[in-house]
Amino acid sequence: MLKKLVSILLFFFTFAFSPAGYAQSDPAQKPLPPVSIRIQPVRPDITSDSIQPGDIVDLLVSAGSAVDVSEMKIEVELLGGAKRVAGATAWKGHAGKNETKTITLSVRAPETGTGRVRARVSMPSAKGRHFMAVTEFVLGPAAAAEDNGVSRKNSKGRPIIEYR
Amino acid sequence: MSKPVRLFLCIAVCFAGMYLSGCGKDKHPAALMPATRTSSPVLSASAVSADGSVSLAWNRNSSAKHYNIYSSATTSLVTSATGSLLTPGGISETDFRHSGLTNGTAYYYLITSITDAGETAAAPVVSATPARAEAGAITLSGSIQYEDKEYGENGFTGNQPFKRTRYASIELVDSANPSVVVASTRTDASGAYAITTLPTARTLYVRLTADALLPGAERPISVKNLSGQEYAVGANNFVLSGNATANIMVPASTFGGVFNILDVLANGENFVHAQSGVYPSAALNAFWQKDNSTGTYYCSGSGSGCGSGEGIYISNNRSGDTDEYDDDVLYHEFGHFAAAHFSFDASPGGTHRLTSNDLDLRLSWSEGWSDQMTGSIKMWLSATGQTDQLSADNSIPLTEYIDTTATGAGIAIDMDNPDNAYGIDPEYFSYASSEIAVAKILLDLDRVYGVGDVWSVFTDFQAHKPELPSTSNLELFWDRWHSLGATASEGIDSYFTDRLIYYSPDGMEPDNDFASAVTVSTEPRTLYASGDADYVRIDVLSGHQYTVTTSNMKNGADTLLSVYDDSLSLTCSNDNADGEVYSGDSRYPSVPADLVSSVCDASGVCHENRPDLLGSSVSFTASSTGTYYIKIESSPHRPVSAGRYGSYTLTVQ
Repeated sequence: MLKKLVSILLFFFTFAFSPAGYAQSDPAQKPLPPVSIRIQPVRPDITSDSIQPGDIVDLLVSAGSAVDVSEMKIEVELLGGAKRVAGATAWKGHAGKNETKTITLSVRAPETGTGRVRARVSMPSAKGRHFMAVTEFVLGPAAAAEDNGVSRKNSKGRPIIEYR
Repeated sequence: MSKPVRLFLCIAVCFAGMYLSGCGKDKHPAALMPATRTSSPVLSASAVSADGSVSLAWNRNSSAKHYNIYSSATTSLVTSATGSLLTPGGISETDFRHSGLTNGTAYYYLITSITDAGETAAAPVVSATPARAEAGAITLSGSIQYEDKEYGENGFTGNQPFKRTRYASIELVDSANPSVVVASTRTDASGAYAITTLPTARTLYVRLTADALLPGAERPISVKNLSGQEYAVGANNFVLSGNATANIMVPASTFGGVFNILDVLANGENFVHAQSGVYPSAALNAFWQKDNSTGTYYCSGSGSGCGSGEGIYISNNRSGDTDEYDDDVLYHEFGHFAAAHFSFDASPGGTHRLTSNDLDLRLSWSEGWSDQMTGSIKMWLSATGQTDQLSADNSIPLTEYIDTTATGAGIAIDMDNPDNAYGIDPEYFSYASSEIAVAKILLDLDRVYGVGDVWSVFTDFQAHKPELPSTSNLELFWDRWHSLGATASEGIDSYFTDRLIYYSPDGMEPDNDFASAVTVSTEPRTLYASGDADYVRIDVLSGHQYTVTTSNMKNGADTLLSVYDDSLSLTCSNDNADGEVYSGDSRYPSVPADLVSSVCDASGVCHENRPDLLGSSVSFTASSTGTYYIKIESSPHRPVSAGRYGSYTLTVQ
């Protein structure tokens, strides 16, 4: 009964207040491949921002496919001075539909600069075309975005951000 | 040949034919402007004519040790090999006056910078024709280009040609007071512009803004940051004391992507205009911001994710995915904008994967339409002689959809030939609940009957909005195609059946009443046409229990199952075997299954038309020996994510 009531209320708010034509409740996102991958610290209290130079971090790389794949590949790349301390950086094999495969590795953040761990999952095909997903995990706080644009108005009075 | 040499030769060739004719009007030599800033976001140069001389200025290159200037009076294809070096040993300033020239003769200039990497082009080739100053108006003209990135099925190819920036806003700005605009215009279809104005002693610069207005359109296309500010880049300072040329090239390393977005969306609007005779009545805003992962999606202005209003939000997530140069992704999102303004689209939006074949029918229709738009626009560009607007490697099909990532192509799929291309079961690209199936059908119809017929049905959705429970999905397209009498209504079935979509009576018809009830069969049945009911008879024994089930629901089927005894009295009925209620009042089906978390997976993809979700099941004990009847029909309480048609399998145990 409660579920029915919630459904009716949510329906009301969705259709009552949405434009007559395009009635979406979420943006129309671009298509995704059937493979997905993520990198997360094994310890839930660790984040990119909390990692200091030289820290050793245990990472879990998880990849999956929405379809049955005879040969799924996971590859891990260390960039920006990040160093592998332990664990694998690759996996290859069969993955069933909705099955998750994982790699665990330990990496050391560089003493200077910002290290990154990039992970890629792919499903090659005989014709050389494939689906792939890529993600990165940054071993340290994100650098503040530089923006030397100057806010102005153009000749029609519209706001612009000008770069010179 | 080294890369820097290739670069400035390429630029020199790109600017072949650019020259300025006319007479200088100012008796006073143009002042040489010292450069005051470091690396600029554009390559730019200006050449201002005077009596017997030309004054050059250009943007500083922060890695330049010094600059060389080459000149030619005989060819616009001036290079370091064909031109005369005016600055032996190089200069460190970013301006130069070339004197002792012949009035009335056009001079072409190539400016290069000497860096640790060698000699590279520092600015576009510019030209001017010295002349005695005369009273009256002078002309500033030039050419604007942006650096494109070619892509293929393995990602970007490395080929990065410069392309014209069309219909963009050009302003001539007072550099001492940039809020003062002396004159404004737009580039034309070739990326050229011209401004006629009076000579001035003020220091000016040309500002290029990512705001395009196509000829005949009332609303612009704009590329903005997430704060709603249009992107603008400013070129070098110069004094406009005579006729002049000022050219700008926007590199991919700075804001070339912004102008690629502008150009791609201009192609989209031109395509729409070619089909419908009108441009969109709404402004098209694209939102992009460096190092910001917002996107990539189209937002209608309502709902979540529309922080900056209606528009296309484009990701620049440098850790995985940037889309400012992914033309196919941009065309896909433009497809949603077109649907919002030329059709009726009730898609719930959200996450979707190309291999999902059990999506909400509204979502699969909307995404399939947009998948098809990518190929349709590119095929139209090719057919109308605009192949220079294509950025894909010309060895791959125009219907191929490519989305690059940081390390290659994340998606490379030919929407017109999806089967067996990846070692994936073709069933993943089948059914009305698959966006690939929808895209493939639309591309087939485009090719056989013409884009015009497909577009006519698409726009009819808006002209004659469907009333609930009917909504925007492939079923509606099918119905409207036939009712509008689009070219040869018969014969399109094969494009649907190729995708395992059967909008036709099944082999057991006619079985629409008790008298014509048929015996049980495990052959899949269809619910078609609207109002179809399938009657099945079974012989039962008194006291025995029977279970009747509809399962293997495909193409959006949602059944209502009823059992009648041998006196034709209703014994029992069931809508959803799992006991869930997926809709409210039958007149106003709820936004369904998206609300039911069990049908959405961990990645956010919702499977409203999972084959096991909307089937029906009843169990009963026969009260007498004889013939019972089963009636299967499309559920009047179906959620709006399902369809009126579809297919199912009946089992009796």
